Amino acid sequence: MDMVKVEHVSIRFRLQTDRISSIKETMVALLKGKLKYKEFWALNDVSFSVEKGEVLGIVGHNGAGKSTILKIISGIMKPTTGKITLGANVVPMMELGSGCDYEFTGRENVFLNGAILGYSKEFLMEKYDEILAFSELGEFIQQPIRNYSSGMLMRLAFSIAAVVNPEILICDEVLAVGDERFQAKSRKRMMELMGGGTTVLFVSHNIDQIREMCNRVVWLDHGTVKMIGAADTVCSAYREWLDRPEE
Amino acid sequence: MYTSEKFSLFAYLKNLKRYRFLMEQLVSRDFKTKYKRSVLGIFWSFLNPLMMMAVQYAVFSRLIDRGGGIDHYAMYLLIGIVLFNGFNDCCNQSMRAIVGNAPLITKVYVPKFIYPASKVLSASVNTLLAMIPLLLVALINRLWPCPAWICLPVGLLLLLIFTLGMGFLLSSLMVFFRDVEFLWGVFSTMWMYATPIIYHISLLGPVIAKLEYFNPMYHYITYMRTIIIDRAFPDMGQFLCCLGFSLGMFAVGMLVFHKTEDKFIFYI
Repeated sequence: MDMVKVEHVSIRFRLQTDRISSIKETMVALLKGKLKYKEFWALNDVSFSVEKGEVLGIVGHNGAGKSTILKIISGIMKPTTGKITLGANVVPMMELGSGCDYEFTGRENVFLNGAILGYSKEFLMEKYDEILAFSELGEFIQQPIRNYSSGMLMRLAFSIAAVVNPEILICDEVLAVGDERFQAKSRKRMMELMGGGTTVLFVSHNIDQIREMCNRVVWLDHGTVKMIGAADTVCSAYREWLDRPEE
Repeated sequence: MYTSEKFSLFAYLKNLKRYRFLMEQLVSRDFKTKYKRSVLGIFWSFLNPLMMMAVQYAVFSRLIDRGGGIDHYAMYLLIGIVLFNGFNDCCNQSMRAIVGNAPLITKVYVPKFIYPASKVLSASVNTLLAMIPLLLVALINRLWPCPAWICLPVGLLLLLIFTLGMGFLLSSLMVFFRDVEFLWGVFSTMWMYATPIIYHISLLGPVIAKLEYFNPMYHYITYMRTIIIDRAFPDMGQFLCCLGFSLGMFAVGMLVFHKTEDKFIFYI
């Protein structure tokens, strides 16, 4: 069964030659007939599908459209053309910490962040101890998080995101969190999720990590699918492309 | 299952149920942060309208000769101030709801209407709290509770619906034109003075007074004044007028918001 189906997805960005964001500027530009856009297709006719329980890696150079495709799948952006079909709700393991309020205590942030990720109150109440234990924050959880170190913030955010057993999980470079020990722990948790039937879409620049964790890999190049297939094959090809002599 | 859904109120309501917990969290966050680190905290919600009224009463009761012969001028003033300031506060808060939550909106999918709606709701809690000193002042003025008071929540609810519409409209306009913030500052001041808050409508003369029929805030304020000062039920015409403005504004706000929300991401 396909959990995620991406069909002919394209997205167009309009790059304004000058950034216009006031009424006066727009009027002036309209009158002069200068409201011109430079069009830019960040994704162009991308299609692939992910089966239930599969771990799909996405690789590509900077600006290839990796994060954009994840944003489209999680519903943050709408594609200009094409269609996304999902078999379940998506939980984004977002760039950590963006849902936090710095005046709030760690505990309050667990609930705020959890709510943003779409968890219910009952669920959070039940899992609170687990989140606290995983984050290793101890009594610091009662402190406003503006007093936290960045490592503590990251641990808290990862613990909140990792507590669920989502059906579709989206990760954009999140495993480089905390010290080495915590990294190992979070990777273990990720492996658990992947072993437990969760469908995962995974973006990373670490090719060895992709090779190790993913079943299949999509290689994006300037917004188009350059290659799709078994992790080993694509990773080797991508590695070769990366190591190519400078032209 | 997610597909690009067509506009339907049903879809919105379904989302509303699913994201109720998030709404609660956002509203309580705004409310808690508002008074964090202030000594008097929540008491400002009571004190602020009272102090505003005291200042304006001191100034205007002399300026327009004992309020131009308005009965219970202090009460008259206070109702106008509480409602208009409440409305204005909601607008100012919700206007920045989308722009201010940019870091979240670009990273996680949440139905976007939740942001302005939660801002309006958290700011309305203040208006609700301000009703307590307002009713106390009514009692001090010997305007005793009467059966018409059961219409008070109706009036507040109608104003809330109107304000929600305004919040949707302003927050989406703000995404495309940051000037809206400054324009609104001027416009809302104009609106306040154009509304009979400190003066009586008869001061305007028959022609301009007719224009007040198109001022929604005039209707909401009059509705509440009828209940508290005249101690009478607002008549059906008054009610329908308020209802019409509420539903109309809500529909316009929703529509503009819905038409533009997919483009927000490119502008924030």
